[in-house]
Amino acid sequence: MTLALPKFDPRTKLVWYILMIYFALLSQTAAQLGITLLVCITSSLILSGSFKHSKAMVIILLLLGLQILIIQLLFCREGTLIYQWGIIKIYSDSLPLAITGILKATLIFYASLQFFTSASAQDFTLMLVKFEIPYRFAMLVGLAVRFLPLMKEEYQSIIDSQRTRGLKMDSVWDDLKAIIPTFLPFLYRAVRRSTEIALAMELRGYGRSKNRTFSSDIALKSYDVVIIVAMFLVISLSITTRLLPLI
Amino acid sequence: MKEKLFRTDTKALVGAVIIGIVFVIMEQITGRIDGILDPTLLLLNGTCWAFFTGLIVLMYKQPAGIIAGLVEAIVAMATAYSPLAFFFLFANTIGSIVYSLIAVKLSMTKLSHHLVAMLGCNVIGNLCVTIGLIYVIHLDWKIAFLSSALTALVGTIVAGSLTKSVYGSLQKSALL
Repeated sequence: MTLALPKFDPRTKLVWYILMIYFALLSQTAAQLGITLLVCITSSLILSGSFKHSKAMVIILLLLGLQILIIQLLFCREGTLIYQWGIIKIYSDSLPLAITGILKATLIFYASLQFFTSASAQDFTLMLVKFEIPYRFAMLVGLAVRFLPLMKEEYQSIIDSQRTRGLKMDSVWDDLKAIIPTFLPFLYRAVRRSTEIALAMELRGYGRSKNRTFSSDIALKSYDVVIIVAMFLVISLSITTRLLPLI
Repeated sequence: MKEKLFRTDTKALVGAVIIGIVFVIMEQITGRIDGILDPTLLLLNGTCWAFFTGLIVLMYKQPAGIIAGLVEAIVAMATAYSPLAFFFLFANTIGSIVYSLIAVKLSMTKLSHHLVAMLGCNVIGNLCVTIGLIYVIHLDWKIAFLSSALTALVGTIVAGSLTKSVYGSLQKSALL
C-alpha cells in the first residue's frame, strides 16, 4: 500500500514525518491539532489523489478514540463534577481532553502510516545506507517486511495445530490460557528459523565485504532540498518563538 | 565486557528481526486481551514487553535488543495498535540498553539477577510510557505514575521469572 508522497526522496519524507510528530507533541489545543491533521491529510490527498487508503484507518481510529475516551472519563479529575455513579466520577474537562488526545494520537498514527507506507523496503534500506549505517544493519528492513506476514502465517498454523489437539480458544479467558501453549512452540520455531536464515545468508556472502552495491539508488533532487530546508526553517522558527519568551 | 555486551554476527542480527516480529505478534495478541480485561493497566501487554526485551538481550545481546525493539515500535506505529506507540520507540530502546547494562554486571544464573535486570528495564521503559500517558492522553500525572508503577511491578515479577525459565529452556535446547 503506497499511501502518499511517492515522488519524493525518503529523506524528504523523513523530515516531513519529524515535522508532523513535532507539531503533534507540541500543539496543545484541538484547533492547532486539527489544522495540522488537515494539512497531513491534504498532503496525502494531493499526492495520492484519493482517500481510498485512509478508509481502512477509520475503524482502527474509532477503537483508538474509544480507548482514550474511556480512560479520560474514568480518570480525568479536572473541571467540575458533572456525573457520579458510585466510585465513577465524570468531570467536565474529560471530553475536551479526550478530543485533544484523540487528535494527537490520530495525527501521530496518520503521519506514521504515511511515512512507513510511502516507500518500499529497498528505499528505506538505501536511506539508511545514505545515513552511513553499515549495509548489514540497513538490509534488515527488507528482512522484517518479508518475514512479518510469513511469521503471522506460522503462528496461525501453530494455533490450528494446537486446536486439532483439543486446545479451546472460544473466549477471552481461553485465549489467555492458550498463550503459553501456542507461544512457546512459536518462539522455538522462530529461533530455529532465524538460525537457518542466517546460515543461508552467510553462505550467499552476506557480510563478507565491507561495502556492497544495490540495483537502484536514491538521490536528493533540487525540490527535495528546497522542501527539506523549508521544513527545517519551520521547526527552527517554531522553537525560536517558543524559547524567546523564556530568555 | 565488550563481548558480553555486543554481538554483531549474522545470526544475532537476523535473530533480532525474526524474534522482533514474534515480539510484535505477541504484543498485538496480549494487547487485544488486555483491551477487554484491563484496558487502562495493560498488565499482560507490559509483561509481554518486558519478557521479550529481556529475552532478546540475553539471547542475542546488543544491538539485537535495540533492533527488535525498533521493529516492534515501528509496526505498532504503522498499525495504530496503541495511542502511545510513538513512545515505544524510546521505551524499547532505552529499556533494552538498561537491561543489557545490568545483565552484563551479573551472571544471570539466579532468579534474583533476572529480577534486578527486569526491574531496571521496567522502571525506565514504563517511565517513557508515562510521559506518553501525560503528553498524548493528557492523563493526570499521579494516575499515570500509579498505572506505570503497577505495570512495572507486575512486569518485573512475572517477566523476570518467565525470562529465566524460557532462556534456560532455550539454552538446554541448543538452539542458540
